[in-house]
Amino acid sequence: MASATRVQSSQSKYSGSLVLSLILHLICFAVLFGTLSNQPPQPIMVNLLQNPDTGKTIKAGLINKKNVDQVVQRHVEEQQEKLRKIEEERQAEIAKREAEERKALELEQLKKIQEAAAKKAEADKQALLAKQAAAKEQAKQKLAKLEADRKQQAKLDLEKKNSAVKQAAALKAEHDRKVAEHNALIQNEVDLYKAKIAAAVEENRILSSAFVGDIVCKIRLRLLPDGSILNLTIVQRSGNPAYDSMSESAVHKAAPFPMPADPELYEHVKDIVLSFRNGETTDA
Amino acid sequence: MLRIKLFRLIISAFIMCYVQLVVAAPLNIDITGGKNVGIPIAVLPFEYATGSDPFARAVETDDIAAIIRNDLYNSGHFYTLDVQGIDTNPADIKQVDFGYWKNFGAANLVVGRIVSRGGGLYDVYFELIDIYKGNMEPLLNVRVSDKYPEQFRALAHYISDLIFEKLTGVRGFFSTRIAYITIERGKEQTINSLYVADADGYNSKAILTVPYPIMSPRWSPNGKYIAYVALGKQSSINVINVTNGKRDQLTKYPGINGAPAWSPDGSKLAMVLSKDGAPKIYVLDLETKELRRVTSGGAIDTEPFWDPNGQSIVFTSNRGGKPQIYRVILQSGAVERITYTGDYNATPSLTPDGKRLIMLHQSEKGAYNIAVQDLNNGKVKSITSANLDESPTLAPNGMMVLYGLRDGDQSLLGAVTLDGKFRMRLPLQAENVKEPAWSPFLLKN
Repeated sequence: MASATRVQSSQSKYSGSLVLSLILHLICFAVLFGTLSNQPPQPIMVNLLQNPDTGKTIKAGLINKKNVDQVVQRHVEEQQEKLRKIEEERQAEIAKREAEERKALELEQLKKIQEAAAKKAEADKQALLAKQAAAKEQAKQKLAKLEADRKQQAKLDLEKKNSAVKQAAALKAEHDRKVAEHNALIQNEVDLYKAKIAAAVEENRILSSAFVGDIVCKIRLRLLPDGSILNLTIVQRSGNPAYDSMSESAVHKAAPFPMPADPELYEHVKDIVLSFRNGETTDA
Repeated sequence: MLRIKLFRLIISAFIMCYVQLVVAAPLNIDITGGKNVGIPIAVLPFEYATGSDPFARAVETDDIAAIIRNDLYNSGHFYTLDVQGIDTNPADIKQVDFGYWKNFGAANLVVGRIVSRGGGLYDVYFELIDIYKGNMEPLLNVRVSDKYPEQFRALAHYISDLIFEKLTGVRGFFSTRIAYITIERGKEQTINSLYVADADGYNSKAILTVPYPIMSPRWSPNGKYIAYVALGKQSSINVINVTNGKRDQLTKYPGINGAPAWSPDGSKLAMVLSKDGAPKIYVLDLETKELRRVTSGGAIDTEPFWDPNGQSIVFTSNRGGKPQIYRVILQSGAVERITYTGDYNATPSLTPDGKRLIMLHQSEKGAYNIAVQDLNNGKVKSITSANLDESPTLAPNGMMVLYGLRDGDQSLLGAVTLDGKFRMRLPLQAENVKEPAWSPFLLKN
């Protein structure tokens, strides 16, 4: 996340300088074009001896001097008027052309500005696309890297695990051996207590020929460390409630049970299922 | 860091597995032995009103607690503790000192009280308490009412039945009755009587007294009639109404008319007749009076007893040379031998579940004893050990056998549990008592 932000900020830094350079370029352009278009217009050459309208040479006539003068004067005036008009027209033409040129120039400039704007927009777009592509690529790479990292980590984990399992297996083997030894010891003690508990119950159990058949009543017994009964439940009924009751009574009568002093042994004998079997008692 | 964590996890998983193995599986212990001494029970004297109440005197002679104690003890399944002189007499569970009774050795305690309702009616409240379960709920908490003095023995027997069933899971037989034959040999003549009594032998009453021999009394399944054989000049099979003594003669064919046996539904009577030659098993339909012979051949077939399912009859026959027990399937007439142990097996009866055969069996020493044969495996076990036992009859709950025994010149009645571990003699007044018959379960009046 942090690196992504960093990438983004560097990106914006670049885009700033890009814009700056663009603007500078544009200014250069504008200056260059501006100087070119500010050149004075070319002078328009007029042949005064020619009728600008017809191009015919004017024939001079000898009338009288005065008349001539007058005519000349008039003619001159006319000519002057014409010239003035021509001049006016020319001036208008010039003005018009100038206006047109100015307008053209303006259009040109506008066009250029627009083009520049479009170009800039395009450039921006491209830049954005590039940026996006770059971001995408970056993200892709980042993902790929993450994936690679993950795989690497998984591989490492697996190796670690394997080695741990191996160690654990070795440990377990050792543990098993010790447990087996320990269990053998415990089993002896447990067998002893089983016999003691059975004897205690049988001492207090009343057999009766009233109970017929191979019926079994199973009683689950949880004992406290002092051998007294914490909890007694009939987990399997024989079908004869009296038989179940008699079995239960035998357990109550036998309590408290002989219990080992060793807390670990206690764990082994604290939870007991007693199976009261009727067996052969009726025919014994 | 991770490594250590992983390691710890794995190690703890192993430890958990180990601990799981040890802790999840409870220790299994088989209990097969025990003491066959009977259920130790203390039945305390019932608390009762004293003073001018006629019951005060009655208790001395007819103590309900004493009857219950006697019933339970004589069932062979209880050890009744002597409570004379004890210094605690709780009337209900709230007053019971459980520690005291544990030390006393009682597994169960019966306490009760009697309250007069006037008009000769009494309410008897009793509780059956489990001393060891340590809960404050009695196993039984019942009120029964009856009249003094007529019904107090019956009421006590009824209480015994409830206690017995609660503690053994089997219906008690203390409210049932027995029938038997007595013979008084006088100088002039011999007096033969048919008696009925409570199952404990008390309350006996002769319902028939005749100068000729009578034998083989058999209760009808509803307990209202007894079929018996009369041996006058000619033998006959008769039925007597237990309540009013009214008699009917059923058969009096030439030759032997003997060994009546009611079908489980009471609609038929099996018997032995020799009218067609050798004594054979016949079945008489009591409604249609139709008589059908069910066994054939030249051998002696006798002592029929119906299988509780009504489909077959077991009987004694000498068809194999020596007396053995056979079974005839009524529908097909097929006969199979069912006893193979010893040279003499006779007088068969079956337990209510049809799984065991009770019979008279001659032991290897030559003595005639009551024996039980397991019909599944054929194993035979003698449950009595005198020399001349006879006429075994099974309690309706199948747990005890009443039989005739000889003690010197005397003929007496004995009772034995089916495992042979408990035997007793019935306290009857007569000297020569024979041929007992145990009644079915009777409806309470």
